[in-house]
Amino acid sequence: MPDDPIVAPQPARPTGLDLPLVDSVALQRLIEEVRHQEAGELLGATLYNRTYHRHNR
Amino acid sequence: MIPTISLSDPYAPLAPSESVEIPFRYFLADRCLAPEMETGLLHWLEGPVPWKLAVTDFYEQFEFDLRDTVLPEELAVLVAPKALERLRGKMERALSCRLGQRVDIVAHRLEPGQRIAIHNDFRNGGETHRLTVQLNRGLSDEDGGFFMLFNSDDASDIHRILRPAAGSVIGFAISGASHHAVSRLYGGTRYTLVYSFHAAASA
Repeated sequence: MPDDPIVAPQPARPTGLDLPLVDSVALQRLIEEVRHQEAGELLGATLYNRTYHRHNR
Repeated sequence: MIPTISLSDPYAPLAPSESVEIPFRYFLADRCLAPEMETGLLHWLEGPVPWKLAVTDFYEQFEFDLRDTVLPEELAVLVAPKALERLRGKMERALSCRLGQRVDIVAHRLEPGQRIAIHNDFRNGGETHRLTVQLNRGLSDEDGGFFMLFNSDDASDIHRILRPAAGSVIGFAISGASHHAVSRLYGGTRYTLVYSFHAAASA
């Protein structure tokens, strides 16, 4: 089976998958949705890693 | 009824369309699975599979490890060693890395109201590369559930926001810089198949 062609790394460029960032209100809402509640707290690697609970059962 | 699938390489469609190095190494692809495999998988995930609700201080979602269930015969090729070996090779070529044989596969399900806050997946000695495949019945922008990539651990420092288009793929190298998140879902159900890879043992 032939290998897939290697795609050379390039700066990110918008595609159909990208959400245009034109509405500042909507953008601010998205930012707030993914911001940690504990703003300013230093988060440990365990907390960062959302696979922890799966892999350490 | 899951459609009949007779593919020896379920990952044949995976071909990176874009490769990026900054802020961290990742690639995008339009597809990973053959359409009939995608349909069968989605149908199966919508049925009685062992979803467990995981709630932490930065995310809430349903998830289960594919090791904890028996895949239908039609989908078993997804975890066949030869198929995973080919997938691993694609990841190695796409991200210029060497990976070990171990591949973990976990299914995620996000329901309206759920989200995953910014994080980087990094853990010393843990998996080193990730591949995520979006599975859904079609989500509009109003439904949310966007995959967000960041330049830093600051949620306002956005690199890119990607729609969860059905079948689309992002593969990335896990590091202290691989900050990402999933915005809140407002409608529909957002499934993701998450493959985790580990670095090859050093000689």
